[in-house]
Amino acid sequence: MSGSRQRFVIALGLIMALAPGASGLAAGADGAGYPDKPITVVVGYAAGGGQDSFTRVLATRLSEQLGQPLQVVNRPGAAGTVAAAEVAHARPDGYTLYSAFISNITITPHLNKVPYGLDDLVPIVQITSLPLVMAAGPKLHVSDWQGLVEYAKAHPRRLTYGTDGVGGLPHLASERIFRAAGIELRMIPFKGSAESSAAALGGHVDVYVGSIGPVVSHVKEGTLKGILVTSAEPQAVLPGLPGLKAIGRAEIATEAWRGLFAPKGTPKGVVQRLANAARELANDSSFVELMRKAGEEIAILGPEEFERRIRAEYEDFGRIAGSLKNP
Amino acid sequence: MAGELLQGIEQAVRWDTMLLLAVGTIVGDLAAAIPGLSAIQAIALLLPFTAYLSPVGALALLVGIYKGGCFGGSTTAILLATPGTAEASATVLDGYPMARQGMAGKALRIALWSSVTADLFAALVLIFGAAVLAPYALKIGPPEYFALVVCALTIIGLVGQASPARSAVAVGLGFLLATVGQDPVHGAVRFDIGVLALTSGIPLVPMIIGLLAIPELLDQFGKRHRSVSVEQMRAFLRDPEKQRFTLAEYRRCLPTMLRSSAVGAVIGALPGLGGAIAAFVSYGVARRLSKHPERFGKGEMEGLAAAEAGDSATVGPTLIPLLTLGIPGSGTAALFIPAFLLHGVQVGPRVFADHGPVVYGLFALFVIGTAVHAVVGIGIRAAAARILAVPPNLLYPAVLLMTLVGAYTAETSLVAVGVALFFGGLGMVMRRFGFPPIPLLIAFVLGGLTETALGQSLLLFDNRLSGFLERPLALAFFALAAGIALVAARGAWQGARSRERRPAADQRA
Amino acid sequence: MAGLTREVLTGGVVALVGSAVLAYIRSQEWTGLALAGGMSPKLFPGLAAAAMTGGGLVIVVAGLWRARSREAGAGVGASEAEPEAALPPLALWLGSVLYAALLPHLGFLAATPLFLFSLIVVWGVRGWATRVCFTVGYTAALFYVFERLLGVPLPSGPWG
Repeated sequence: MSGSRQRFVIALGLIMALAPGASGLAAGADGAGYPDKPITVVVGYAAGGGQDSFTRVLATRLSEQLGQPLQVVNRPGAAGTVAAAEVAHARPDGYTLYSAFISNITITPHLNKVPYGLDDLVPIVQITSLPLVMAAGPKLHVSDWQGLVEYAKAHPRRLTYGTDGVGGLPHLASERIFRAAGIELRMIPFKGSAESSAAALGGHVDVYVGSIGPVVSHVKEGTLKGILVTSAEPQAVLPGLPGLKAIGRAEIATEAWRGLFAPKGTPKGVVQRLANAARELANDSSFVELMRKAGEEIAILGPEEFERRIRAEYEDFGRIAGSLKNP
Repeated sequence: MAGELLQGIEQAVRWDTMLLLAVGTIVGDLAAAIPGLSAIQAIALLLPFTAYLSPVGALALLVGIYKGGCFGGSTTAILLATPGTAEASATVLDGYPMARQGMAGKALRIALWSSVTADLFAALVLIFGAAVLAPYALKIGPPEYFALVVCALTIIGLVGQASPARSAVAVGLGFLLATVGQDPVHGAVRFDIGVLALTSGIPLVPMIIGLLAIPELLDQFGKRHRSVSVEQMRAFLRDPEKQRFTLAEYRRCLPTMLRSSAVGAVIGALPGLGGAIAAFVSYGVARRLSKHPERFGKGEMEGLAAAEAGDSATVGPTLIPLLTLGIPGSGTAALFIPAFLLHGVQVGPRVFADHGPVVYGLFALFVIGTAVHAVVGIGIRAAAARILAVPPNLLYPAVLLMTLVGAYTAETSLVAVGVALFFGGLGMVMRRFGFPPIPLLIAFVLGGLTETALGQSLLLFDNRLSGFLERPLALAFFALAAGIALVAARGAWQGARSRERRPAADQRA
Repeated sequence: MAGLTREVLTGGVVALVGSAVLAYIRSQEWTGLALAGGMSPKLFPGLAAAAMTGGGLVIVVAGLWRARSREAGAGVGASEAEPEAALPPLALWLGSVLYAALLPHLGFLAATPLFLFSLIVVWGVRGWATRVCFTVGYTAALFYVFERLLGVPLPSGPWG
């Protein structure tokens, strides 16, 4: 009996040794000494998606800057909002961060009930910006924005456009652009931009609106006819395409972004430390090049600018989503 | 062109590339055997590391994981009725009964050689069929997907061994559960019972673990005093005669394997369908064409061969739309995009012209990978069969815990554990009252696709159902489905008539 | 006779559940974003629930029919070949639910040994040494593989 008890004690000790170390001393408000242990970055999507790949690349680069590993945790569900809710209610010590995509913060809360508000997550830094591209499939014989508007006006409700899902950024952004131009196209929702781009290539929908990444080579090759990018200015990756400024609609320019957030109450110094580390990435040419190939531009925004952008966007998308809801 | 081809092959046959291929295959095989883990997680974890390898070396690792990960789930499916991945669910149907009859080693061998055969077939399809199949993949739009799914449902034949009414209930329940979460057309949230995570639907892996594995474990617990069968299984394992998969048997299964490979290759080349559907459709085809459909589900080796071959044959073809169009055919294939990007390769229409050596290297890897897959498979299977040597009263508790932790891991969430337990309870109740779980599972897997494709079609047709008439390819699929249904109905009618003549004998069967 | 009651009850319960779901679906106001037309979010759940209800009713009718055609007394329902005790599996299921419920409160490293130990005891594992070694060893192995090797944060409980 005493033998097995002894074994029990030894084994218990073994478990203790394997258990995660007691949490280190909390960083001061000025962020000095931060980080002194690994940081967890929560992603709201399953391993393998765009946000996941982005976060994993970012985590390896940032951990070089910060001198501590960043551990990526996938907590998928409810369009990324399960993870957002979790981080919003995590301990605000800078060791739990949320890797967000635009819709998690400024769109989905208008469409679904989510257990967190805009104020529960503190913006740290915007890392990349991803303009959307509008491109015509093989069956639609227009080659520019003017042509599309004329055709759509002559044939109301005839044209269709495919997006990565109902209530996603491409959907809301397109509706805003089409309404401003006084035309109506029918939206066909797909599961992700891979499927919507395939539908456009196959001519099942007339127009693709979505991320640049999946279609960049098709637009370059001409198998899809690029019409415009939704940023105000043209993009380096698709130099031939006009931005919204060129069609006189700079005020409704839309770009997606990816960025980092922390729970409310995270020390200012910690937020600043993370933002500064991220700023350094803009000078890393291999990182910039890698992101550009994936259709993303490095566009660092510090905590204050990022927050201003989010607040304005939140209002905008609230209005569009409201106007799209069933009566 | 010839020079680039040689260059690609040269890079693939180096010893360090082979080593990466073998490591990848082992990692994928093991990851897939653990419920809740899959090739996707394994690749995502190793992706940053691939940046330090040569392009072909990185691809070798990925191809290995992909191939191993497509197959590894079958081991636990056969031995413990616990499919390690969703793709291995159909393997449970005949693999587990075989193991219960003391032929675990044989079942593992059939699974391995079916997978290897299909894998080689799929590699050849990838290499020679890319140019032919890619344009076809694009012709399949929402209406065609809808017709295709209807066709698949007919082939699988949801009305199997159980009574039609009970199957209908199971199918209805499966479709109903598939509608949990946002509807694909308007984004309205349905049946979320106040759980945020459920607004994106019921997670598949915890659901499968719950429905297939947990009821089996609960039943094993119920009859723990009668673990004789496990003793017998162990005795059989020592009897090489019962475990051998002979050449003659391989030849008998070969037509099934090749048919299933063809089915799997086509389904793999179409984005969004995937290995689980390929396995079930192959299984359905094999049962329809078999002279002994009544043996399916009771340990029929052709059923096992069909399920494994159908799943494994998707691996190569999922890369066809990826390479030629830049559209990934599955979640795992999608991970090849960042892997390619890390080495400056942009997949899409120009990939053959711009990066010939890398693509030809990839092709060579797929062929060599088949041999590596076979060797690794033999080794792992030999070790895996020993699982049964663990005393059952330690084995089953360990497996139960593993399934719960696996469900948690699949979503990093306790909600997933709840889902697994809910379906475990449901599966137990269904067993007690004679409702078959597999139709529920198939309806669940295909339900989301069906609703999405029909919803998209109606939007495209501006709500006119007659829009389907303008889509010849969709009509062809519908006609095929109708033909299969007619043949099946005639068979059932004849069966019923012959039963009427000798009712007493049949009642007991 | 027991077989008949069982069939009718089974079918009846299924039909009842199906129609309750149908009623629930009808009562809901599921709205999302307005698209140009498109299928109602209620169509598929409605069809599925209808299939369940229909299937349940057919089971009831078939049960009654079989009972009538076998009035002679030869009747043995197909579902009667199951003398398995229902209680042990149910108990194990409830135990697993309890474990899942305790996980967030006790943490993986406390709840798992507790559950696993009770599990192997009731499953009939003898010898304290085996029980303890297996419990501790397997918990540690799971923890090591998932939390350490794969970086999946398991529930940590109040001890951080």
